[in-house]
Amino acid sequence: MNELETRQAWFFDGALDSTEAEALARDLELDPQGVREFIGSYRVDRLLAAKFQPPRAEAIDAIMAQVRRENHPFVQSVLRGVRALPPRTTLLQHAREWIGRYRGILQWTLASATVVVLALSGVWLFGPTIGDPMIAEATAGGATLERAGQTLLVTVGIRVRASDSLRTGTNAVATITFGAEHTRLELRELTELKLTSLSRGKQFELKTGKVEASIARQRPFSPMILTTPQAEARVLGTRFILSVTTNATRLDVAEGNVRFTRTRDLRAVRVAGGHYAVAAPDYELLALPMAGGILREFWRGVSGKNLRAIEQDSRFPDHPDGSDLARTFELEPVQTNKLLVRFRGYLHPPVTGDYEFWLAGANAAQLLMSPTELAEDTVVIAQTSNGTQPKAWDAPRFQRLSQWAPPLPLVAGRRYYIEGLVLIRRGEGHLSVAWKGPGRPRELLTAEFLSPAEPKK
Amino acid sequence: MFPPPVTGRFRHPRTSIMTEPDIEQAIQRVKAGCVDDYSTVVSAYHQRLRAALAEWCPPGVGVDEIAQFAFIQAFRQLHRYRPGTNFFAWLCAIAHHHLLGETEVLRRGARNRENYLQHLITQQLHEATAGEPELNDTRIRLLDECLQVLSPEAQELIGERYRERRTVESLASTLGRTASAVSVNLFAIRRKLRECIEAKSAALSRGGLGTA
Repeated sequence: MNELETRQAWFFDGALDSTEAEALARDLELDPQGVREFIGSYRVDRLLAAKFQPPRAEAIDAIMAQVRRENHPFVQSVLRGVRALPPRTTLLQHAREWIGRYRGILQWTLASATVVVLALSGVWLFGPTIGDPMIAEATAGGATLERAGQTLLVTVGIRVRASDSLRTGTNAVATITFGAEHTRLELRELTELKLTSLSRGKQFELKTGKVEASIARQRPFSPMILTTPQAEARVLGTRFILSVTTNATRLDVAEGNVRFTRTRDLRAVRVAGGHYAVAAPDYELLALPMAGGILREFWRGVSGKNLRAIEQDSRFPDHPDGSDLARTFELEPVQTNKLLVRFRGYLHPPVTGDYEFWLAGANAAQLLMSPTELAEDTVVIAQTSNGTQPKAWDAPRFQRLSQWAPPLPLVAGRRYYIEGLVLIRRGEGHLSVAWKGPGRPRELLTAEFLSPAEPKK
Repeated sequence: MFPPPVTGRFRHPRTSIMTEPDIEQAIQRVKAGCVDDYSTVVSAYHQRLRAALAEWCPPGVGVDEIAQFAFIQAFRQLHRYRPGTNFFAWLCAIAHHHLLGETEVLRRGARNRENYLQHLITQQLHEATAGEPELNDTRIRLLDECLQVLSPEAQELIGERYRERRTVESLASTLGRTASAVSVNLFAIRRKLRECIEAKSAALSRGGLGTA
């Protein structure tokens, strides 16, 4: 293949920077046959994309949303009103007379308005979003830059160009800023980020690691795009964290909105501030609240003697006497009687691997978990029937087996429905759940790995 | 061990195969005021319209945006649609007209911004689209036929690149080759597909003239 064909090949695979794109255009300009072949290949490329990428559900939803909006009774009434106005010729005649009378004033007003609009458009289009990317902060000796096959040590002030790949080592960080524009990308340790293009908005590829981003307003129709092996995040101005592991991409949005598209099936979700979403195989793409904790519900005056009997209570499970958000999977010791407490929420494993669980509880307590995020699939994985001391996760042998749930394989990026129940008939009641996972000692399950289930209406 | 995770609990019934009479009935119901039935029409024709539009949209013009415009325009003008005529051809005509306007705007913009490559692509596609009597999805059917002729390895590579949307770097690491080699391989496959589609297209038009 000659150089022209090689450039074309790179163009179709998105590996052509702006300089090479210009060179390709110049070469093609001199070669009419080359242009025909290039356009032919372009059309095949687009046909392949259309064939293999089914229409997104959002595209059809957007059409229907607009159709329904246009059919809204209010819009219809306005249209009827417009149609009822006098014929256009009469209106035009009125307009012409009016323009003739005030021509001088109108001309001045129009000229002033044009100047204002042009100035505002200039600010809007070319305002604070045109800075060149450069390294503003970097751990000395901890970050490198791959450029045209060469590896450079990252230093503060170095300009980042299209096709450059930035890598941070262990305990190293690097920050990219964009001149006067208030946009910052902080690369955490062990991160690899490639600047793929600047020609139509800032486009990056996050191959691994974590990027904390604070994005100033971007130019209209030129959003910043961060792609990962599993997803694409499209933003016009916001604060968020994007993290990539071997099989999952997680987006945590602090402010603003980010359009998060899963690459595998092009399903997209809008993630608002205070929410997160995960793109990973076999994981439902949802914008979920980041609020850590677990829903804790209670029922007073429960008459049942054991957990099976409380199902006879008409208030259970949908009508608790109260609820709150617990920061840990724990009911601290409390003196009470005839009280049923239920914890409900989702467990978010930080890494893929086997996890063990332990339950300690007064009187009758149960720990239930689902292999999915569905409450219907829950099974009892641990229980106590005679009660234990608070946080006594290693009770005498005959109880220990039922208090402990053997290793369960959990996948990072997914969420699992989890539920804890304790019935306190009289005296001191408590419940606590501990877990142990890959590289993590046994510890009380805390808010960092939990999100609450929605209370029943 | 946990059973396999549950996925895809809810699927939108968009993939159902509709017959022309079904679609005609849906159009009549929309005309009678059942706006929600327009989703039947949109679902039936959306992918076909995208396929018809795909190869004519230069970078910067989204197929979905043009398709959306066409469906909305068709809805606004639905009272003009005569039952029994070709609704899809009507949609294509609306989309074609709008696409010409969009590419013209983009062509001027690319020239002003001195984005030569985009200008060149847009210019070429604009001229070709303007010379096209009507849009249709024939070429996507020809593409299907041509894909069958490719070797299994080439079919797999195309599937990974376009269905799975994998980057050449990712494909290269899987195949144990350089990204450049994968890119060149893909380019050669596209060229083969182009030649196949053009040959079939020419044969089709000759056949069409012969039968006319």
